[in-house]
Amino acid sequence: MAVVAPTSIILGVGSAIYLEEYAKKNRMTSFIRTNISNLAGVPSVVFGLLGLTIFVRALSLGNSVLAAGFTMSLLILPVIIVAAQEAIRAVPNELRDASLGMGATKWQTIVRIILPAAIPGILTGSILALSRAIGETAPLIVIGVPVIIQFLPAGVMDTFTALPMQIYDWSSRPQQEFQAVAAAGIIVLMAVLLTMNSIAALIRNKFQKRY
Amino acid sequence: MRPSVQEMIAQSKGKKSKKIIEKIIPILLFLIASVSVLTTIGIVLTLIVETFTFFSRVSFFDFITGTTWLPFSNKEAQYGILPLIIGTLKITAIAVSVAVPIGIGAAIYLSEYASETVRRIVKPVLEILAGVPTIVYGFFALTFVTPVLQGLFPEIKIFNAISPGIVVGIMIIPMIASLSEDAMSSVPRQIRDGALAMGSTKFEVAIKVILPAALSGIVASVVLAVSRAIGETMIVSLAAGSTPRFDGDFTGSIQTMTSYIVQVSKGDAGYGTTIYYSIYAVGFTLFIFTMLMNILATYVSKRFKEEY
Repeated sequence: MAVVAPTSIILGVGSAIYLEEYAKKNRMTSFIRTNISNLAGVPSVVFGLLGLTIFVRALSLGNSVLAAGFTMSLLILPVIIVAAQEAIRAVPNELRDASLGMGATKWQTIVRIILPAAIPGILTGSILALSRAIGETAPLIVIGVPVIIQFLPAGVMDTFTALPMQIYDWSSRPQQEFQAVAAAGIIVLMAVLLTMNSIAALIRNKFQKRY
Repeated sequence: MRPSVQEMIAQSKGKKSKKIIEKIIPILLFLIASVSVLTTIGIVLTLIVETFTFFSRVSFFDFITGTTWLPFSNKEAQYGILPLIIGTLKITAIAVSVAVPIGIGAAIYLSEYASETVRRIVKPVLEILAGVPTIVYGFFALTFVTPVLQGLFPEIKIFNAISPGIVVGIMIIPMIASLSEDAMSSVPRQIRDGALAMGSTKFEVAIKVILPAALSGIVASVVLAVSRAIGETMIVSLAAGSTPRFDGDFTGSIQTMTSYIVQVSKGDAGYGTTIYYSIYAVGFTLFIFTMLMNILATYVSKRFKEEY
């Protein structure tokens, strides 16, 4: 999470600003747009294969927090980009024009006017995307995240395990006891997810009709 | 009052750095936006390269026409992908037959019949349903749906295609419902009112007017949902078993493309073995399937869009 949140939000919001504010209407731009929507449709297990090849093997990060974090970031990137794009598009043009008319440069307008106005939408989208990353299991399995870890990971290069991995392992065991443990794990996971989703919903409802 | 020389110098310095920022920022942002393109290129490249290594050991023809998938056999491993594709199609078929009627029904209800209050409650619930991790659905399929089905039909085994199929269907219902509802809500009011004024009942309006008008959006949502069902991994690897088979049996254990990838990654297939490369070949096939579906969805929603 500590890896996924900054990586994906910086990349996602950056891409969205470019696409909404800077990009000219040419083939390159429409190519990037099509590409993002296609990327959103790629199964998560395929992202796992990408992570396994690029991050785990080619960059030899091993099955570390960092490798899994980068893979997850790429997985939720399209979701964040689309959410941020919508949020930026929803900022009324009058604000933009007024700021430019006051002599602000384009970048000043973006940082001081558009981003503050679009922050609630961006936050909502990002929280929803992160909650998706928390529950995602398949890429972790493909990367080769181990199931049994006795120690807390000490840094981003350490191996680790994740709650969905544990649930998968527990529920695929035949013993009855493990089913109960898996159910308990699911309750914890769902509690975290519901909390995140309700925070996202709260932010959205609070800031929904400002303009 | 004219500004002093120092102030003017300070101003122009400030402007210069401003100008540089204004020049650098678009480039920087463009590079960030390219990350998503690079990701796609990365996916395609890794899949192609590793798949090529795979095909240098296993003939391409055997791969696409073979009806036996026996990678773990000691004597002679066989890589024919058809059983995995059949397994995937079984799951998808069940999922779609569960999700399409319920999803479209829910969409019609939400856009035509539901009051504002109902809609305010149902839409967030749909969103939450869409946010439930697939691993949770998998557990639900294995520990709830399968035993219930076994109670009804004793011949169903513990790992089967029906239970994960139904649950994958449940998983894609929110997607179909909310996308179709969007399509139906965007049908203009005049058309609705016109049909009502001609004396048709509310149900006739929904079926004969709204449904055809929103058809492109609905079809696109179904195609996207099919693509999700094909790529779904955790539900099938938990509840569908791991027996690749080339037949029409739904009651026994099957294996899909995704669950094969999970099965191999979970066990320690050594780096560089043919089995290791086979997951890329399977992943590539999977990628092509979902890619075609996504392109089809975009095409349908663009080509058959009704303009008002």
